[in-house]
Amino acid sequence: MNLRLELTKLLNLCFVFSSAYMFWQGLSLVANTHSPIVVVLSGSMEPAFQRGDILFLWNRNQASNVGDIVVYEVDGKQIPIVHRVLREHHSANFEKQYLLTKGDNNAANDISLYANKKIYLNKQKDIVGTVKGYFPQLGYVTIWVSENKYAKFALLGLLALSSLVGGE
Amino acid sequence: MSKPINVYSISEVALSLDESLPDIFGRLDYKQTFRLIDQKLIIGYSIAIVAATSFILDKKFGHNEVIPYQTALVSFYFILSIIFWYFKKYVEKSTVYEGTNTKTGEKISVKTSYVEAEPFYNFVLSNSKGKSLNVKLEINKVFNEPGFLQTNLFYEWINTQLQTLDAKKNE
Repeated sequence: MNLRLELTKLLNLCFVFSSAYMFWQGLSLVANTHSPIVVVLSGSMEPAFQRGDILFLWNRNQASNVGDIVVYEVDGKQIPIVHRVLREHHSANFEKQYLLTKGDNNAANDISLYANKKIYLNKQKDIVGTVKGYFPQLGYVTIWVSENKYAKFALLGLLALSSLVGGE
Repeated sequence: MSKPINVYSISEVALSLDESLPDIFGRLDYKQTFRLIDQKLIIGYSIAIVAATSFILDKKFGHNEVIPYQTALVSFYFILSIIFWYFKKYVEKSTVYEGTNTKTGEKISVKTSYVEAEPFYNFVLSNSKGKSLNVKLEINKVFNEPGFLQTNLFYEWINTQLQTLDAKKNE
C-alpha cells in the first residue's frame, strides 16, 4: 500500500516535467524548429525587441523575404541571434537561398559574425526560424538566472519554500 | 485515527474516512486488492517513459536527426494521455477501495464522494454479484467534536452496510 502511494506521488511529479517537456517537443515538431520559443539576449534589434522579450518562431516557410526577422545560429556557437534579413539570393525554385542579415540597432551587417569567414547564411541550414509573434519582457527571468550566479539558488530556494508551504 | 482533523472541512473528513477503509474492511475479513491502482500506475509510468525517451533522443542526437521518431513519440504520448484521462474519469471514477472476502471470496468495491459544504459522506458499496448500495453517512456520527474519528462507530456502520447489501435482493 505504502509503495503504491509513494509511486503515485512520484508519478504526479513525473507528469509535471513530462507534460512541460512534451508540450515543448510538440511545438518544435509543429513549427519544424529545434527551439520554437527564444528569448532576446541582446539589444541589437531595438527598438523592435528589447532584452528579455520572448519570440515565437515558425520554420515551415520555404524561403525568407527581405525584411523578415529571423533567428539563426552560427556553427560552433549555441547562442541564437535575432536579426533582420537585409538581402537574399536564391536559386530558380528556392531550393537554395542565401541570406545577409543585420541588427536594426547595429551600425554594420552581420558578415563579421558568421562562422568560417562566410559572407552569407544558408536558409535551410542556419536559420532556426522566422519570428511570428512576441511577448515583451517575460523572458527576463532566464537572463537574470543565467547572468547572476546567486539567482539560481534564489530560484531553487523559492521553489523549495513553496513546495514546503504549499502542502496539498 | 490518532490525529484530530478539522471536521469543518469536508474534504479532510472524506480523506481520513477513505484512508481508514482498508483497516476497517481488514477487520471484516476483506483483503484489499490493487487492480485499479496497478493499472493506473502502469499507464501513468508508460507516459513518463515515453516522455523520457523523447528527452534522451533529443539530447543525444539533436532535434533534426530524429524528427520521425519524435513525431511517433509525441502522438504516442497524446494517445496514452487520453487513455489515462479516460481511465481516471470513467473506469476508476472515485473508487477508493477494492477487496475480496477471505472466507467467501466475495468481491466488493467502494466509491465515495462528497459535496462541498455538506456534512455527508456519500458511500457506494457494490459487490461482484451486481448488487449495489448507495448511502449517505452523516459525518457527526463517526467524528467527535475535537475531530477524532471514532473507528469503532465507523466499523459498526460499515458492518451494517455490508449486511444490508447482503440482504438486498437482486435488482
